[in-house]
Amino acid sequence: MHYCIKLGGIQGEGVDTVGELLSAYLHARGFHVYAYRNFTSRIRGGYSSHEIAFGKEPVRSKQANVDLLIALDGEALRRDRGLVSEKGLIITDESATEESQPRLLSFPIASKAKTGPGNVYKWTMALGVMGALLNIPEKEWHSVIAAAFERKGQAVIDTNLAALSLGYGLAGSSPQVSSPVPDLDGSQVREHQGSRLIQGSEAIVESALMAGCDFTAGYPISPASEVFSLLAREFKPDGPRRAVQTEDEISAVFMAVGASYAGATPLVATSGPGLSLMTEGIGLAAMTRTPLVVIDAQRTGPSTGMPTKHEQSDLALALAGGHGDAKPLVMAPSCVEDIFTDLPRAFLLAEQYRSPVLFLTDFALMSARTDIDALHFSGSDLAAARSKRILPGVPDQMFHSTGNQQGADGLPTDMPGPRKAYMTERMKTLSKVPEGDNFSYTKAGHNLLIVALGSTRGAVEAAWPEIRHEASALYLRLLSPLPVEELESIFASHKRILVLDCNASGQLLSHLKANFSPHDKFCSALRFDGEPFMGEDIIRAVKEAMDNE
Amino acid sequence: MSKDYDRGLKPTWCVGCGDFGVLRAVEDSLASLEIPPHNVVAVSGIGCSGRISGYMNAYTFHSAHGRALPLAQGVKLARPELTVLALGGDGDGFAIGLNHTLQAARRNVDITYIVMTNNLYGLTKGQTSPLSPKGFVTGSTPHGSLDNPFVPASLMLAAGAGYVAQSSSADQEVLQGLLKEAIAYKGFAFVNIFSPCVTFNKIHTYQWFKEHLRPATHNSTDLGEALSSVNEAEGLLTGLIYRR
Repeated sequence: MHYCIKLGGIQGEGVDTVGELLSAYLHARGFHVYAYRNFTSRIRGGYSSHEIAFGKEPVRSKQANVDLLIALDGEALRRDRGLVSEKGLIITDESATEESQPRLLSFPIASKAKTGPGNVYKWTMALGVMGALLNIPEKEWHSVIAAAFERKGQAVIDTNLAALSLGYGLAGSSPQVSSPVPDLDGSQVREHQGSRLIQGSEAIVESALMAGCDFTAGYPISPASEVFSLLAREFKPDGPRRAVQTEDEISAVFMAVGASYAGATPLVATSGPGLSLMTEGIGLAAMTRTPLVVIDAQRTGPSTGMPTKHEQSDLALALAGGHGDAKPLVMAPSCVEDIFTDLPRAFLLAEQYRSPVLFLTDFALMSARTDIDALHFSGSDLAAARSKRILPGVPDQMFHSTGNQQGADGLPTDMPGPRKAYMTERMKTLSKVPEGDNFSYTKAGHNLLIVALGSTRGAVEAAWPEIRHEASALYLRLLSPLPVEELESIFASHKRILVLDCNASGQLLSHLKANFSPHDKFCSALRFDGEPFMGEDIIRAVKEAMDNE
Repeated sequence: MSKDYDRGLKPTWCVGCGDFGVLRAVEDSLASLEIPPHNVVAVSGIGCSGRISGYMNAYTFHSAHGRALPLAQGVKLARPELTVLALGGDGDGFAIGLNHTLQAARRNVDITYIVMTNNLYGLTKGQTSPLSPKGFVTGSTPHGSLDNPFVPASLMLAAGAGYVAQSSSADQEVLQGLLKEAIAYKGFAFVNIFSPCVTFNKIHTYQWFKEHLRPATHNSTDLGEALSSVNEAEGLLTGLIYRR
């Protein structure tokens, strides 16, 4: 049983700040949390929402229905009221509607904010209204607010607490309502020492630093910019580690190639349009056998597409990596936890294979905030792998690297023999499937095998109680080289294979069909409207797959 | 000593190509500065000029068209103790890679950028470059180039380069003096070398450069003077243009 509280309003007015307060509170109470941000590609204004799914069981996907909607303006109310479930509750502002119903309560939040603490505090007031209606003791918010605004100083903390009190006061006189989220009553759901809230972009930075990343070059792009910003905070200009904001993604990837060639551990993070530009540098890394890790936070394409919306449509480009058999290794973590094992592994594989590695994430994985338990890291042997490579500065070992086809002497050649020998060796190396966590497999029903990537796992897990009698689930984490032998027996033990593609053309389906037969065993479900799959989509897709058997 | 910097290969350049002089000058300058070859990383672009790194005995990287500068900056930022050179042609630096060139100047990473200017594309068999004069006839401009050329030194001064110098590849004495200064300079240094293409450029020949280039006489520590003197000469100056 999961609940969803959705905050909707005008971008830049505090929806996200208060959403984060609410997530922090729910997490402190012991709930599992999944907070999904929905924003537009502009700085201020426009509709923005923050929806927080929570419950006593783990949750890693958006919910189709909303139990409690706080919509502080007319547009948010119009957009989202249809999502509110029958027993749900809507809290709104008097300026948004003249309506008043037992399950739609409006309060003079904006007007009281304006004459009181100021307009920027109206969302904190709304939080107070919600807290009062749900009978959450006001003092419970104090530590959450103090922690969230610690960096901004005591005055900001005090004003927020005052605004919260105003909200409690506004709701105080309203009639009692039955709570749409009865489990949220101020009591502690579970103890969870070591658990914390994190989003994918933060996990990437933490695990990259853990793996020894000491260089990043990047160009701003949603939803990848945060990776650069967080690394830039770590890498101070006077230190040995560097963060360079470049003129474009081409420059970023070539700087990383240079840094890697020289012995650093660079990370570059980008999103679809940036990946298009980076293919040039990825090709050079492939041809010169230079280790390189590129994060691609997939978003809606082609071209600019919908920059702040979810999709998984860069797989085909990633598998090619560029023109002319660039063929990087391609990885795709299926959850935040995977990032902590798979990104250090990506650095290691890049070094061992002397190849670019594309690390595919997606909008939801990067930007949704969720709870994870304490993780225990094991170090990787990156230094040992790197010691086999000659780095500049070593006497008597000078060599030439070139993006041209090189012969045995490292110099450009256009002779058929060296060309064929080089590519044969490279293809052989790149086809070796490494040992390790190449996929995650949850074995249950035998009728159907669900194959999914990235954050889609969360939707499959949401549907799991409904589908487990029919289906098993497999989340592919290594897409190239594809662990064909390991997968074959799993594929063979299911009657049908349902491939979930968050793109319009079925890119994962195509990749699997290119490597497995018989093809009529495969069926497909697509979603490409900018939203991630949700549990309901999976239940429906499983039903359809079984009906069509 | 300078042979320590030579791989002993026979360049594929045409007999008489200006790039021979550039190769020799780079090797001799490194030798004279006594920088051990294994501490040198030379990154080149694509084109006839891009082949230069392959002939040098050092850690050499023949990168992609227009991208020598980003790669070279990555090397230097990762390993500040290394001497890093970026080398390329005028197509590399002032067409496909122009943005990187300007940004490298303002970023001021301590590398030396050496451009071999022949005012056209040689390896692809003669097309117009952003430095070709208006009316210039090539395979890609059979009716003459319609576009105005860039003046590289002006661009670099405007972009904030701290060291800007020019020479002919034929004038080893001047060239080596400037290259040594540029390599020793702490910060981004730009050396533009007029390096004739004897096969496709029948206008900008050794003789033409001899007749048109003149030594810079302005105060090279004054940015304003440097700019106006370069602009007045339409870029055809040799020697130190500016040093901050």
